[in-house]
Amino acid sequence: MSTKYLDIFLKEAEEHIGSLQTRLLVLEKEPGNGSLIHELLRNAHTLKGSARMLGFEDISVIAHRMEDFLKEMEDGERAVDSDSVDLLLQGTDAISRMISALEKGVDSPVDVERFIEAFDKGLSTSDAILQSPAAETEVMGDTVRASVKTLDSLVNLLGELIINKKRFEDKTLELKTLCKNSGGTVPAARIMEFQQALDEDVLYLGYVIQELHAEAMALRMLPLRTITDGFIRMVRDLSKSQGKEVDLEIRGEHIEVDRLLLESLKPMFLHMLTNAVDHGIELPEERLARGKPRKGTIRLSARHEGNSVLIEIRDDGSGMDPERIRQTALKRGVINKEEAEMLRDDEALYLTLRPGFSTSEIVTDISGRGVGMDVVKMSIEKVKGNLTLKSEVGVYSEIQLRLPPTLAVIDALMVTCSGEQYAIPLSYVQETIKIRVEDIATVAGKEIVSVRNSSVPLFSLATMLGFGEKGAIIAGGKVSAVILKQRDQTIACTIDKNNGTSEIVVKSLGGQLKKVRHTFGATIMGDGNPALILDVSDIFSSAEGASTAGLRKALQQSQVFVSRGKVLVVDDSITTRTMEKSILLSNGYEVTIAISAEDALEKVAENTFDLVISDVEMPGLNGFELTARLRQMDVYRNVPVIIVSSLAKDEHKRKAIEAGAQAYIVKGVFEQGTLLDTVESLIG
Amino acid sequence: MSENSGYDIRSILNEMREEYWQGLSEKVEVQDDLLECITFILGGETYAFETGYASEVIRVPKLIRVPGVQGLISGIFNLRGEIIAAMDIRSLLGIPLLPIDAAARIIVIKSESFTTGIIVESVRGVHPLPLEQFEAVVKSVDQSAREFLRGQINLDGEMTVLLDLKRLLASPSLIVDN
Amino acid sequence: MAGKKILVIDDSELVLAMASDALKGAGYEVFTATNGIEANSFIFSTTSRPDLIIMDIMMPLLDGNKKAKILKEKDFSKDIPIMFISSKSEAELEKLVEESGADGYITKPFTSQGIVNSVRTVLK
Repeated sequence: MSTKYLDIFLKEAEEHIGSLQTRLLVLEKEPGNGSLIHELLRNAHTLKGSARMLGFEDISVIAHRMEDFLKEMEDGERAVDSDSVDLLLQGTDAISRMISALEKGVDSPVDVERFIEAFDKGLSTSDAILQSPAAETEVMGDTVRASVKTLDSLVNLLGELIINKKRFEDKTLELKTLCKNSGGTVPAARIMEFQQALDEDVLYLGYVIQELHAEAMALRMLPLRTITDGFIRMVRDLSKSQGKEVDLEIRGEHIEVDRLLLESLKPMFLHMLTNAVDHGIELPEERLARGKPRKGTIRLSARHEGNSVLIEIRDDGSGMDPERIRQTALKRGVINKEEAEMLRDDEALYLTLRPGFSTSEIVTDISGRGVGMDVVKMSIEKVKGNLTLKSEVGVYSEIQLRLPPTLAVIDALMVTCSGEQYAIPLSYVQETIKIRVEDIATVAGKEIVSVRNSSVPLFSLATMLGFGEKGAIIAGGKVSAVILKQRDQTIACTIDKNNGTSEIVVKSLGGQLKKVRHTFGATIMGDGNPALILDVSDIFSSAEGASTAGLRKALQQSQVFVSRGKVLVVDDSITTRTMEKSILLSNGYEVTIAISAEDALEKVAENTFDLVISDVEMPGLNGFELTARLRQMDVYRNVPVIIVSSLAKDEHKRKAIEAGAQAYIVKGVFEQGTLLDTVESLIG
Repeated sequence: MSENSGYDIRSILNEMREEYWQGLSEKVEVQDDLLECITFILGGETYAFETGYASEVIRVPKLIRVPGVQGLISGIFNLRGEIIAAMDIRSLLGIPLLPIDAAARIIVIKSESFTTGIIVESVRGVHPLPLEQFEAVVKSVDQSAREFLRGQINLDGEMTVLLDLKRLLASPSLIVDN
Repeated sequence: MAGKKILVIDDSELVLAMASDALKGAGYEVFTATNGIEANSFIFSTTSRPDLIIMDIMMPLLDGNKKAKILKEKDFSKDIPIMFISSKSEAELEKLVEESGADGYITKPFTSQGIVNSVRTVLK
């Protein structure tokens, strides 16, 4: 049967069961409600029909019996009382149990014949339903088991928080009185006293939050044992079926890992153990011939190392042969000849993780490893872990997984890109750098930067995220970039701004945004707004084939731009100032406009200009007066001033020089060349 | 089919209204003759859906753009610790995109599998809409948009279009899974 | 036959999915509705006016047989053939078909071949 239909059925059945339950309880209170009975009848009828459509006879038999029962109620042949409601509820429960068995793919816990027999007699049907041994097998459901002690402690800590809040309330009150009574002059000693008291409260609050955080996090942790039970049996059965002898040793089962992480780890472990048995461990005779013990050993061990959990799966089998892996990768078109020659032996092992490497069985024979290792790689990257391979031909293979201890809190680098803030898991960040134009080289049309003597391809993060070609912000001819690393690869991504590192809480994007490319979740920032967390492995895969940042040109232009300087143009005539502005702009100067001397004085206070160009006759202060004022200011004592005026007499020129101007241009002879020449002669 | 090409919509609507009266009056105790709806403005026109779907109405907070997700999802926001996507369903329904200003709100909706927010130009309020006055949608909308419209109601000369939120929420185009 | 439009009305999403998969597989254009109100937007639309309506009997808001009676009384819909799809017994269905003026019935459970065959007898 198609799972599509099964899924629809299960969903529909759950809806009907839900409404049967609620409606029955209402019916008990309103036995005279005819339309309610009709609705119940419809629920049972539809359930019956749907179950029959998919051949679930047991379910349809009970639903049919309930439908008949309800029909008798509707026709007034049967009393609507709490006994009959009770019976119908039992029927609903039985169906509900059968549905959930169906969902889990286990046997139905209901003996239908006995159930109908009891139902028809109006007796308790509980004997007909197998009482399942609780839901203990479901360790990894959505629920968490917590000891009463842990809960008590959480409640206590919450209590502390409430007390703390009260303290803060008192403090604001105190501050209010302080402000009111002092009439604006609070003695410094009083403020200091207040501040110290506040400091203490904040310190204590920080302590309580830390405790609470640790306790809450602990609830998410489960020992590795939760998933390793059964592995020994699995390895035993599998090796036996292949005529091999293998011991599985498990160490560090008590190590606790985030429950979400455990969920994704289990299938990966099974995969890697199967690989070790299938392709790692040799047949007993072969092992003896190589001077190895008859029985192979696979060791799965876990331990803490620093802030992470380290898990190793090591077998003493045939190992991985780098030369053969190179050859296979070449043959499969995963790499080309030059790449193959450049790869070191330890790097070659990672070829087995590339998609496309392990598509054929022949490959696995040669490499001794590799069925779907790309899948394992992808999964481990999904949980923000790191995978390392080690091997010695004929001696051992080892896969090392480094996992973050919990998924919920990670260290991240916060960056700004295209106006939004993003978090990048710190485990992927090598460093952040500032790039100048001379750092960028172009190789085959792609831009690369040199970082610690190795060449790293350069990309624009904004472009990769699909936020257009808008270049990174160029400050002083430099651009910020973050160097990302993933296994043996590094790339540089330009960003607008580096906002430093931070410990962030990882949140899911919810059910609607199941997987958004380039992200794997979000965190909430101090201002209450979310910031997306970047999925670095997605960024690496986008980097393949993406065009590079195109920064070299932008930076080169900006260098010209930056070197030419900032000019303030002061003129009350819109025509003149627009003309001046466009001449200067097109020649690489940065231009600010002021429409009067007063306006200019405001602008010079906010900005430092390299040159001022001013008209003479303006409303308010004139250009000479403006120049004189500028000369009195420390910052502008030596900044060149050009007077542009229609007044052509020598008297005016002399006045300008007296006021402190460096040049005088008469508007009548005003042309592009004159102005530009003068500006260039003054500030280059 | 051809004989129907000339029918006029008014007579059909009258017949339909009759039909509902007839259908409903034949039923014993109709409980749901009034549908309590939240009404709001999209593209300058009034739309509605059952209040049961809406969990709250909030002002539009800062929406954080999501890379590679264009059109429907305008961005994400934080609602008391939960990350929620804000949708502009107007494009989905072929409704004109009037500017979103200070009157705009987000109606937060909890569906079975996710919580989402629908951006509306403004919220008008909660009104009980008489079920028997539903008419088929006459708006010349295309089939893809029609899928999400349950009907329309003419109340005091003003048209309110009832959205089929159940279908809308079940639409695969709402889910981002790339 | 290709391109003929069929409207299926049933409050069970499962039935809608199975029926529309089967009918689409046989080359029909299929619309679905979960109740009589929803169905109207298809019946009264010039673009989706069905060549056949298949409907459940026990549905919320308006029972299938009442809906069928109403459709058969109206000038613009009386020519659209109607088939019931139900898990009621054949005897009951025969009676309902006669009462309402419907054109046939399909019993639940149905197979995809079964529903296509029944539809063909009516649409010819």
